[in-house]
Amino acid sequence: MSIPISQKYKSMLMYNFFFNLTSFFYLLSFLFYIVSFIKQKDKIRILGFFINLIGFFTHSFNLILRTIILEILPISNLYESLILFSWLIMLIKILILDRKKFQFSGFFVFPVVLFLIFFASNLDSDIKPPLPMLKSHWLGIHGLLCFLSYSLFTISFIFAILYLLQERELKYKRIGIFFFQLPSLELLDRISYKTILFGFLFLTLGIFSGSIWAKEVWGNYWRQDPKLILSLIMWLFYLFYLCTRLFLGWQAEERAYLSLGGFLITLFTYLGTDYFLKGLHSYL
Amino acid sequence: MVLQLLGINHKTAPVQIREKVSFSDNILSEALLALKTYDSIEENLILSTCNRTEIYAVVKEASKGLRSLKIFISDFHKILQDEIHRYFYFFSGIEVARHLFRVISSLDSQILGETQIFGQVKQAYFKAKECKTIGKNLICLFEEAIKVGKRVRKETNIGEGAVSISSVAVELTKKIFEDLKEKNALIIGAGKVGEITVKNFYSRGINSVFVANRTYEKAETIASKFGGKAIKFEHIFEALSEMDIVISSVSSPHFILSKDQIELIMEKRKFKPLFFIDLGVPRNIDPKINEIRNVYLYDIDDLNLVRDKNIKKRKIEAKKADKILEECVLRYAKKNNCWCQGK
Repeated sequence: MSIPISQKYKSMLMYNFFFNLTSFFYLLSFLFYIVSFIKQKDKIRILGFFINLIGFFTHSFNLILRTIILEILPISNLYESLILFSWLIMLIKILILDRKKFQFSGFFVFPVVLFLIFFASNLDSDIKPPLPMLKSHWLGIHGLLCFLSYSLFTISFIFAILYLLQERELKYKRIGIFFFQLPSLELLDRISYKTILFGFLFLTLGIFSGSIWAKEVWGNYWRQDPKLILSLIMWLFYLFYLCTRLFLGWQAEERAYLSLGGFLITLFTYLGTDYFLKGLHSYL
Repeated sequence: MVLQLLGINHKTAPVQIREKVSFSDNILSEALLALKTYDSIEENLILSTCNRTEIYAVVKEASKGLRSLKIFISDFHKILQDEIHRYFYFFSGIEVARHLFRVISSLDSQILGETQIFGQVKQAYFKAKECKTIGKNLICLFEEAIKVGKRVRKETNIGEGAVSISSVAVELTKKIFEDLKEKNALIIGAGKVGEITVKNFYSRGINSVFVANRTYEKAETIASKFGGKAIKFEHIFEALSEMDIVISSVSSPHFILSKDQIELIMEKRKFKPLFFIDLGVPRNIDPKINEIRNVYLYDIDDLNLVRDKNIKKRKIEAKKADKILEECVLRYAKKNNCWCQGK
């Protein structure tokens, strides 16, 4: 089933409208969170949360609309991947990080999500049919798994920063806004660790699904491709991270720095192949 | 008919005066019934806590009522009228309601936002009801006050944030550790402050408590209270590798724990975080240990700093509470304008 061109054009207009709406609601919600963070008022934060939910709703609608038009998961270009990436981060924030015990930490997801959306808004949002080679269910599975892992690594990165900030405040007794609005060091570290644990799991599955798909279309499991090599490096790096906690007995602070490093590798794996090392996985 | 209040509190009088005019539980009924017989007194209620004694009354005639209240106090507690003039405050009409609403919301308390006063007002109200010294006017006032008190607690964070040293210690600990259930605390010194702090940790479900003291027997007494274990003072050092929280409050002219010692311990425990709370003056623990990785040391001044921040936050909440109160007072005045006009 394919949608006639004229109708596609109409959906496109609607699509851009919803994209703008999403950006608007996220930005508004972010402002509410900032005010509530500084003034330490819970009511404003709850309001911010509801606006965030509305934004997430339009964001989801966006994604679904595009999926219906394309008939596959929209992930074939940088723009689409940014929309999915930011959607997954928001999903995790709303499902997990807005629980009471995390206090204000969910708020810090906003700068990243807003940056991704701002980045996307500068890119071409036209819906183009993907290459015939990509028209496979494997694209959805492989893409979703990989981006789920990227999202989790990003959240781990955010919590690692929060850990380092809160640690400084406690150590040097600068009892400020972070002290009152952030959860305990132990919890910040635990979230940073657990997101990496699950992220690693999804990354492993993502790489596996990719190689099965590769076998189907290319005939072999592995090809020399910058993104593949970078993914492998990333996988090894996070494996090392997990080992430092499970076997080497490293403490939270060192792990926080590792998580920062891991995020840089994630970013480079995600974007580096578009801007520096062109290969099979390039979006642009 | 007029609503009146004659009272004394920590702001208007020192403790030596307050204790003279307080009504302990066992004489309260007697006092309530005695006051009822005075001229012009229709309804009366006595609120007596360690920081305040207040008599709420509905009187037939304003000037006679006030005189009766004063005479009652001087009769009952054998103090001079002169002292009453000096230390007592007097409100009438809607001002009484405003004051009571402030009291029950703990805006008038010495420790802003403390929770006890709410129960104390309720108790005083039930006692007066039991003695049948209050009628529909005071019942209506106090029922309203209880609602106001509940509303202020619900709509503001006036009771949030630790404001005593021992609860600040717990609050800080909860910023480092998430689950106290898996943590061990060592208390060095069996003094009063130390014990209160341990009690606070114990009620928050800490895994186990160890007590070290120069006299071993004293350590045992405290340890037994909290299902903990006493250890010898000389064995503190060995015990440290198993601890997560160390609270020390001994009087000692020199440091009992040095930086070198703690460095050794930290290496032994692979730099697992260790939180020291030094309540001693002079300080018990070398302040330099705070430089060691994953060691957090807070002394009494640091705790005071956190406490002051919390008090400041409560003061901001109190402003919010004031707004709610004004609204309640206005509504109350409107509803009962026939009899609480005062003067």
